[in-house]
Amino acid sequence: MFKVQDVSFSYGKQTVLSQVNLEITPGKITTLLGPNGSGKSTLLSLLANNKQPREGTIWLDHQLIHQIKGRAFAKRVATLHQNNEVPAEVTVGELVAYGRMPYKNRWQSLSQIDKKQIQWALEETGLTPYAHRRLSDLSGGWRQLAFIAMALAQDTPMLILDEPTTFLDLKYQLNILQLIRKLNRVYHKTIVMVLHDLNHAMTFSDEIIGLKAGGVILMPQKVADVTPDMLDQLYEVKLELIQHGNQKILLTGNGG
Amino acid sequence: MKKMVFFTTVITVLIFLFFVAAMTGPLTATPIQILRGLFIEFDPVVAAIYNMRFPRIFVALLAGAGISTAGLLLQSLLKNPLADPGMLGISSTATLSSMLWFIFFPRLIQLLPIAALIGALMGFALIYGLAYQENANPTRLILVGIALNALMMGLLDVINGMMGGNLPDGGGINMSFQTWRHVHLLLVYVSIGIGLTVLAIPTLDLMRLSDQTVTSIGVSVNKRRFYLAFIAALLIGIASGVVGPIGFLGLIVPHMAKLMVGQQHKTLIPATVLLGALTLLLADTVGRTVMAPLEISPSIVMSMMGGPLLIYLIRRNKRHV
Repeated sequence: MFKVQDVSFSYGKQTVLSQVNLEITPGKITTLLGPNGSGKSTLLSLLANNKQPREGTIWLDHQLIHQIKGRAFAKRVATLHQNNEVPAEVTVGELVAYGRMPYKNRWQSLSQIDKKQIQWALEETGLTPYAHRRLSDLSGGWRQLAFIAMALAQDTPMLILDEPTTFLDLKYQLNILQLIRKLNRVYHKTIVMVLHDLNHAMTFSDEIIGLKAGGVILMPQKVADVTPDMLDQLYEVKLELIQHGNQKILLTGNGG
Repeated sequence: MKKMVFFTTVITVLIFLFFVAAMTGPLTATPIQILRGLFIEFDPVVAAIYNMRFPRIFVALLAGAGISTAGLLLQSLLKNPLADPGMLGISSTATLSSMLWFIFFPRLIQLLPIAALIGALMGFALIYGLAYQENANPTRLILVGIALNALMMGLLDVINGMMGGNLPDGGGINMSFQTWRHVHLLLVYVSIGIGLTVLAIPTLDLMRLSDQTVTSIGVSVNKRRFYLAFIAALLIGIASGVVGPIGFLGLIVPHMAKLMVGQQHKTLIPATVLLGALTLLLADTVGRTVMAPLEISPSIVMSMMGGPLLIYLIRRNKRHV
């Protein structure tokens, strides 16, 4: 799976990531945590082959990712970006069908396999009844689910999600996180995502990677090993961690 | 249903306007006289209209269709609803380059479209290079375009002055000197351009998604964008080379078409083509009749009609502009 070696990246003179090393464990849900500007989204863009690192190399199953061509890459890694524009007059079904682009030539129409995959993606996201509705007529939560369905239609072993729950109601946040867990547990997809909510990260991830400004990696950790001290280092706030059943809960209320 | 009504109306108005344009002017003829003169027996008046007025009408139709289609392409590929080949200086760069070609190589006029195409591509390259960074900032794009256009229009005026010309639209190219040769030239290149645009419908539909999303499904955004830019440059180049830079047309026509038929490109493109042809012919016909025998250039008429129309469109439907 993904292996990041000595990767640095900068926007102009501003270094965002420097000498980052990490590995993504296959078959797990890994969440990147860190304060604003720590380079989480940049790191995801690098993994998504959307940007190229200034230095260092990124491997995907022992292949350099910048050597994997657009369509071949899109069959292995699907990416959900932040702030998706809502395209004019596109129906949910049409959007999800775009997820099959990597599998067909320009003039080919959808095959049986394509249709089956699209149907599956719609079902898993609960969008089947909305397939013929326009995206612009749906609420933010359903739109986000539609973009997730598009990524699912790509039928990739690997899913990258940049803040999939930001700006959504709690109901949709949990809905999406539960879907992500199901995709991992039932369909064995490897998931890498950025989340802002610490408790969501602790509850729904297997591993946590903490990024500080300048791209310093604090911890690739199993969730069970995360301590309040680590989060204190990461966010510079004191937090209390309490155990509720077998779930760890961070009290983010009063900042210690 | 709404679409059927729209297409029927536009085609009817277009035919009507064609006859009005053919009839009005220093020489007048009735529609029946024109049809008789064209198809049944020789009529000196109709022959004169055929040789002098018809080319102008067809040039307006073809250039209008071409510029409007180019505007649609530009808005799609720059993801900017305010993109207009006239306002961004692409038309004026193309006009400048074809003017220079005409001045330096008057005998190689057949190659004028190539010069105009190169000019339009250079205009694109300038705007793209100067303003289109990783995060396409629409405001920056428009501002750079306006600056480029001002520079090019200035240069056109300078050259115009140096040539001793005092032509009405400042573009150095006048609608009243159109011949059948111009029509043939436009017919070939505008048909190619519109044909390529029709073939690009899947790409145009795809470009409604964000660049990142398009990349994530394995499509090279830059390749597709270059292809669309090439078609747009071809259309703008040839049209600006023949009729000069005409502002607003490429901006307003696609917006009107979107309001009428929606944003599915398979209907939006024919709507834009027809509406573009209609609008420029209307502008040209109005321009040469309201103050006859004086002529107002169609680009000035376009600005006069287009400005208020654009404001109306913005106020009426904020979603599209």
